[in-house]
Amino acid sequence: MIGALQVIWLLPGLFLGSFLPWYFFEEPKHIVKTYMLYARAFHEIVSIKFLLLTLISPWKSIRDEYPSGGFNLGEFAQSLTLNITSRVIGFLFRIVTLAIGLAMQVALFVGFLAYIILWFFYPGILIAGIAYLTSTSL
Amino acid sequence: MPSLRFDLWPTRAFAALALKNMFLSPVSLLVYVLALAPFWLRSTATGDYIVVAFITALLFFGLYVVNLFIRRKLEHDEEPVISKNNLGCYITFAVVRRLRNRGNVTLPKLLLAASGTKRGLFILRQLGKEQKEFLQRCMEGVSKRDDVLLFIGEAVECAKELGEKRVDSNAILFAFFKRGGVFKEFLNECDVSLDDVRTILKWEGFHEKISQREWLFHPHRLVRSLGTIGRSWVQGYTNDLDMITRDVSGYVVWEGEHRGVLVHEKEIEIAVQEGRERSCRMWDICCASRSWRRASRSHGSSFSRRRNSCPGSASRMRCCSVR
Repeated sequence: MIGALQVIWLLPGLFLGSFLPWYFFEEPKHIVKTYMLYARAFHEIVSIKFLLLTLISPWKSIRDEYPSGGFNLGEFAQSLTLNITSRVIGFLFRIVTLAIGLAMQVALFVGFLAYIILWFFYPGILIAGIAYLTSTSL
Repeated sequence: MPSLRFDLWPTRAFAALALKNMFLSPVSLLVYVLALAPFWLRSTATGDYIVVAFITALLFFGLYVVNLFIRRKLEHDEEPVISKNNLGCYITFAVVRRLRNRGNVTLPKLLLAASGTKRGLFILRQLGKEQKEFLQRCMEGVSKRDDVLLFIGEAVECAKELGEKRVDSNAILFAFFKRGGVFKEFLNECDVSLDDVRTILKWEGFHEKISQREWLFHPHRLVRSLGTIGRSWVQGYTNDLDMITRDVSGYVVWEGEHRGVLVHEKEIEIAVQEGRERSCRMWDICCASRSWRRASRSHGSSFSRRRNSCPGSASRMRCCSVR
């Protein structure tokens, strides 16, 4: 019981000295850092820059060399068909991956924004909520 | 110079415990449920759930914030102490949580608390004993009348000796072992000297540091487990390169009995054969590598060679690479 009283005596100091600086400065920094870490991780897993740079590159570097030393329409058409097919498949896979990557980044950013706004506005919302509850009767 | 004292109440760890009991205990959760019940009842009557859902969300977010604050600022032992003259501030949360009747701390209570934490139990297991055996053997060596302040001073010195910033179970147990008497007899029973205990405690500190794992969806873990998808799909690796990256990330298992590298088995076999033919004894290979692929290949080769040469020692093997 005495211990609980000691803690009550300690609470104002903890609230002013630890809680407020943590709530308004340290934790927001931590939230931003965490967001950056996740954004970087998602970028590492699905790199939007590389996807754009290699959007129409052949799929898994599968390509055929064009015939050298004399023109052979049959062989040329065969290589051309394979190369185009490889590039189309690469494009399809990468465009889907690009969409997934973008969706992941957008969802992460929206989540981060919602969380940090809620974090900053929570004390105000709490006070407003308590005021509303005390003003209305059950 | 102000005198030293030992008081657990005005400490972060004790504040953490008190706040947890106040806001996050099962009793307080029951109080929240009872407080919210009239609002939910009214909502079921009127059919309007928006207000009550809002109030509930507000309450639980508040509890989440309190819990986060306790974890980050009060339980966290790296935070600065409230008073440097109060040795109680240096005791870790894990020990304080285990103490009974924190207003009147005695050495038997400290012994019980230190031997009951996760680290304390681990240390005792390393000595080949369980907590019950340890307490039965050593409880008679401490008395309620022993000076706690003096003992905590010794424990602080032990913590410094072990390279720790706070007084955790390891430092407290070390201070007890240094007292001699029944503790020395206990160590003799375990067939270890005080120097051995020091080594065990240092090793335990290292084990404690490396055994802290990242949580399942930590960004680093996500990159480690899903990175190959990114490399394969984004950069358009060939099938062979994909296979290597999959092998490296998926099969390099350094835990338990499956410790080892399983890539390039053919090359490893050739290397082992060459090693045998030339009676090569250089099993501890450090390879300066230009790329990680080459490093992993040499890594796997040296490990496999050691394992094949002395199969019984596989669990103690380590290969290192220099980049």
